[in-house]
Amino acid sequence: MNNFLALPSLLIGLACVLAPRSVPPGPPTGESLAEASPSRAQTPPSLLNLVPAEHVFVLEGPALSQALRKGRGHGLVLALESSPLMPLIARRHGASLGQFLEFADGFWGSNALTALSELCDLGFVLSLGPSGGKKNQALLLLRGSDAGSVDSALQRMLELASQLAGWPKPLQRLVRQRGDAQLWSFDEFAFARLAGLLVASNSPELVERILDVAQRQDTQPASDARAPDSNFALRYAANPESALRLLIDMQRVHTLSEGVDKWAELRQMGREPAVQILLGPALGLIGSGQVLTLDLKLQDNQLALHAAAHGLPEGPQTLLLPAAGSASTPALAASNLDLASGVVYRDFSKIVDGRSELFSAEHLPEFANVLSTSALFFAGDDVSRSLLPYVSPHVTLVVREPRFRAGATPSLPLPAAAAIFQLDPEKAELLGGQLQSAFQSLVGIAGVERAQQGHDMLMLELALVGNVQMTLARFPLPADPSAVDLRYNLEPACARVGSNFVLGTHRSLVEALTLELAKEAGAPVAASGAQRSSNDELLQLRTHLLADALERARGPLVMQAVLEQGKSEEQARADFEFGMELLRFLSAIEWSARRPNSEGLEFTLSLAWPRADVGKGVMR
Amino acid sequence: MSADPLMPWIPGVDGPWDRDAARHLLVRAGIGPSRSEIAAAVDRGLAATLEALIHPTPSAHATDMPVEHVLARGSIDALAGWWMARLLSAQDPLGDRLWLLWHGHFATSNDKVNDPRAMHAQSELLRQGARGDFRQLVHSIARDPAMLIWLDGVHNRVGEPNENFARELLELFALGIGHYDENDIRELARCFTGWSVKGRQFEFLAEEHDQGTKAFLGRRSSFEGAKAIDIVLEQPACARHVARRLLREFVALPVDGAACESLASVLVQAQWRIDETLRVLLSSRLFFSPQARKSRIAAPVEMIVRSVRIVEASMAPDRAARAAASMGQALFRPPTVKGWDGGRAWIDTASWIARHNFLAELAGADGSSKDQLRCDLAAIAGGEDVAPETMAKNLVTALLGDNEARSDARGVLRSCMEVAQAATSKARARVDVATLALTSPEFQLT
Repeated sequence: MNNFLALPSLLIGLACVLAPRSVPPGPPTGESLAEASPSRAQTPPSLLNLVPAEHVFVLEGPALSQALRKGRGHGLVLALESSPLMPLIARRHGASLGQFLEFADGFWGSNALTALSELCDLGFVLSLGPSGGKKNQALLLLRGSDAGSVDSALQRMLELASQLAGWPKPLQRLVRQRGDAQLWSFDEFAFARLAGLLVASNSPELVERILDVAQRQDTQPASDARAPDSNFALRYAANPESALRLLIDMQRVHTLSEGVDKWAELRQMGREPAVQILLGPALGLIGSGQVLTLDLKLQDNQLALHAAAHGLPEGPQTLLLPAAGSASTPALAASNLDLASGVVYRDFSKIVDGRSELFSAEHLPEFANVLSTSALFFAGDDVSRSLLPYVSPHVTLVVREPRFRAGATPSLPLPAAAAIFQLDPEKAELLGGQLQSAFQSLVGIAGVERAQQGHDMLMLELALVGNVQMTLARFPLPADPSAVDLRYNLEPACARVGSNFVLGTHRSLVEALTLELAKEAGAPVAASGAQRSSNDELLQLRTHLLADALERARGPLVMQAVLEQGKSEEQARADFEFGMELLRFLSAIEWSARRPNSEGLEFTLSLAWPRADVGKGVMR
Repeated sequence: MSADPLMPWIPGVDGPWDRDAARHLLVRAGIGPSRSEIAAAVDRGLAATLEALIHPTPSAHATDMPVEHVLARGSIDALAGWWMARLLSAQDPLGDRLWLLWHGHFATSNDKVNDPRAMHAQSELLRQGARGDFRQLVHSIARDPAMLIWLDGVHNRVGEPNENFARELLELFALGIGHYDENDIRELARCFTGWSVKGRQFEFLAEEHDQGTKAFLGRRSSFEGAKAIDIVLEQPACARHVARRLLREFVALPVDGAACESLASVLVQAQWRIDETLRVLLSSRLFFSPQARKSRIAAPVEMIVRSVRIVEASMAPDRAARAAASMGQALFRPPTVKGWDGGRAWIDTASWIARHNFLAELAGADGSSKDQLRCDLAAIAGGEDVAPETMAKNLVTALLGDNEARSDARGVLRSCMEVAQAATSKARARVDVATLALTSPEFQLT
C-alpha cells in the first residue's frame, strides 16, 4: 500500500540493468528476441495468469496497444488538433500535441507510439501487493507479439534511459541464463527476458516464480498452464475494449487498511446522511464489494470510465439501492434546452425508516428535528408515514437557463433547477395539495424571518399554467435594474401535474416543465419521448449549454479566481478561456449507475466529443 | 522640539533623508511600501516623494475589473477581498491610508446594513472624498444610505426623532465629547427627520421632517439637516477634532495641544482639504521626530499589506482579508460605531497568535498552497551564496529597517544571527530568520 514509489525505481532499474552497453559476453550481438520468440500465430495465455494471488492492485491494458498504434490517427488526437483547444494547450505547455509527438519521435528515433505499442502488443500488466516484509511487491509484465520489434524498441528505450540517467560506467549485473530466459539483478530489483516477455520486480524470488510459470506455459497448453496460485483478477474477465483496466482486491485493501484513520474516515463518509441524500446510496457503497474494477475505454469520439463493484455484501445500506436489474423512466424526455437532466434514485422513505441502522447515533437527533419541523408544514402529520412512502424514489432532475422578469435579471444569473417527484397516482391529488400548502407556509415563515431583519420578502402568487395551478414566490422588482442582487436568482415555484409534483428554483422552469408534463400526459404512450433506461441513475450534461451559462458569468468567475486563488487577472482569464474551450470541445458528459445483479454495482462516466471529420454544429 | 511643532523638517539639517526616513514616511503615509519603492523614495528626495503621495500618477489598479463582478456575488467577504486586492496593489498609498482611516472614523458595519452594494457605495464615497474637503465628506456621509441604515436615520421622523446619527455626528464624526450637551443632540436629531432611503438612494420625506424651530450649539431656527451640519462644522472644536484624528493616525504620539491647534489652523487655512493639511504634517519636524518613529502598533490590514509587499510575496486577496479579520480587523465590519480602538487594543492573546501564525506561514510559503502563496526570501537575503551572518543582516535590514540592523546590540539581529548559524540548510535558515524578524515586536510597530 505504501510502496508505489517502488515502481519508478523499478523501471529505472530495468533500464539500468538491461542497458545495451552492458550486454554480457556470450551470444552474438545479432541474436534478437525474434529468434527466440514463439510464433505469433500462437496466442499466449493472459499475463494475468502470472500475477501472484496475493497482489491487491492489478493494472492491465487489454486495448492499450491498439490505442497507441493508432497514434496520431486516433480520433481524440485528430479532434484535439482541429479544435481551438489545441492552441491554448500549446500556449500553456509550450507545445501542441503534434509538436510533443514530433519531439517524442525525434527523441526516440522512430515513431514512439508505435514502438510503445509493440512493447505491449500482447499484454501489459502492472501489479502491486504485500510481500510479508516491510516493502510491497511490485511486478511489471510486458509481452510483445513481434519479438524483433520488441527487442529493438526495448534496446532503444534502454539506450535513452541510460543516456538520461548518465551512468558513468558499465554495471555488473548479469546473473545467469535460466533455460531460454536471461536473468539479471540490480540492487533489490530483478529482471528477466523470456522471448517477447519482459518481467521486472523488486523481488528476485517473484521473478523466479514468474519464470517457472511462464516457461511451463511455453511448453504446455494454455489451459493447463495457469499459475497454481491463480489470482483474483482472473475471476473477473477483462473487457477487451479497455485501454486500461485496474482491478482492486477490496477485501485485502480493507484488511491491509485496518487502523488507517483516513481510510476509516473515507468509509464512514459513505454513511453520512448528507452523502446518502446528495450522492446517493450507490456511490457510498462502491468500495464495499470484494473487488473493484475500473475500466478506461478510449474510442475515437468518447472516453469512458467504468467502475464496477463486485461481491457486495448484504447490509442495511444495500436496502437503499434499487432492486437488481430494475430500470427507470424519467418523468420527462430530455430536452435540447436542458443544461443538465436525468434521473436519480433516492428512497427517502427507506432512509428515514432505516435511519437507526443506517446512520450513527449522532445523526438521529437531526432526523427527529427534520421530522418534527416537517410536521408543522403538513398539518401535524408524520411525513414518514403520510408522504414519503407514496413518493417514487426515481426523481427527475432538470437544469436549464431561466427567463427573468424585465428589470430583474441578476448581475450574476445562475441556472434554474427543478426536481420532478412522482407521487402515488391514488394519492397524487391529496399529496400535491399538501405539498403546495407546505411550500406556501415555508415561504411565509422565511418572509417573517427576513422582515425581522428589515429585508424585503418573497411575495406569494398563484398562476394558471394551462389547467394547472402553479404556486410561486418572488421578490418585488429591484429599484435599480442595472445592479440586481444574487437573490433574484430565486423565484421558487411548484405545481402538481397529474401524479407529478414539480418543485423548482425558478418560475420559468417550473412553468415550462408543467406544460411539457401536461403535454406528455395527454399524448398517447407511444408518442411519449421519455425512454425507459436500463440505468437506475442517469445524468447528462450538455457541455455547450454549460459553457454558454458560464460565459454569462465570465466576469464574476474571473474576478473570483483573482481574489480567491491569488491569480493575476491575465492568468485567471487564460484559465477561464481554457476551461470554456474544454467544455466546447466536448459535446456531452454522462453519468450513469445501475445494479446489474444483487451483488454488483456499476457506474460509468463518459465524455464525448464530435468526430474530427464532423462539424461541431452538426454534432451539437 | 521647536515652538511650532509643524515646522518643516529639512533633510540634511534636521536629519538624514535615508532609507529609514523614507521608510517612515512611506509606511505612515501609505500602507506598505516595497523595498524598491523605499529605494526610489531615497533617490527622489522628500519633496518629490511627498508630492507623489499627495498627487499620485493615475495608473491602472490590479483590480480595475468592474466591481460589479464582485457585487454580483452578494458577499461582503468577496467585497473585502476586492478592497484588499486594491490595497495590495498600492497604486495610491496615501489614498488607501485615508480610505481606511475614514472607514474607521465613519464606522459602518455590514452586520447591520446587510447590503454589500450599499457598503460599497459608502466605501466609494469615502475613497473619492478621502483627501478632499472634510466638510463635504461629512455632508456626503450624512446622506449615505448605509449610514442612514446603520445609525437608524431611516427611523428618524417628526415627533419620534431618533438621536443615533446626531449623537455620533457630534461625538465621533465632528466635535468630540465635551463640546455639546444632550439637548444639542435632541435638537440636532430633529433637523435630520425625514432623511431616509428608498432602494439604495437617499430620499427626503418632507412629511416626516420636523419643520419646527430647533435650538442647538447656540443657534436657533427651523434648520434642516444640511444647514445643521454646516453649524456643527463651523464649531472651532471641529477642526481640532479632525486635527487630533490626523495626528493620532499619522504621528501616533500622545496628542500635544499645541500641535493639535497648529494643525487645526492649517486645516482651516487649507479650506479643510485633507491632502494639503497632510502635506504640512508629513513634512514636519514632529512627523520625523525620533519619538514618532516606530511608535504605532500596526493595524492588521496594514501589517498584512506591509508584510506581503516587503517580502514581495503573492497572496490571494481573500486570504489576506480573512487573516485581517482573524486579527481583529474585518473590513466592512467594524465592531462598534466607534470603529476600531486601535493602538494597544490590536494586540491580545488571540490576535497575537493569529499574527504570529500568519507571518510564520508567509515566511515559509513556497507556493504549494492552493492559493499560490509564495515568498522568495533568497532574493531579499542577497542570494544563495551569502554567509549566514550576512543573510541574517540583509533580511533584518529589509524587514525591519537599517536601524535594527545597524546596532548589533539589539536583540532581534543577534537572535537572527544565532538562528541562521544553527539552521540545517540555507533555505531553512532564511525561513527561520524571516519568521523571527517578522514576528518580532519591532515589525508590529510602524
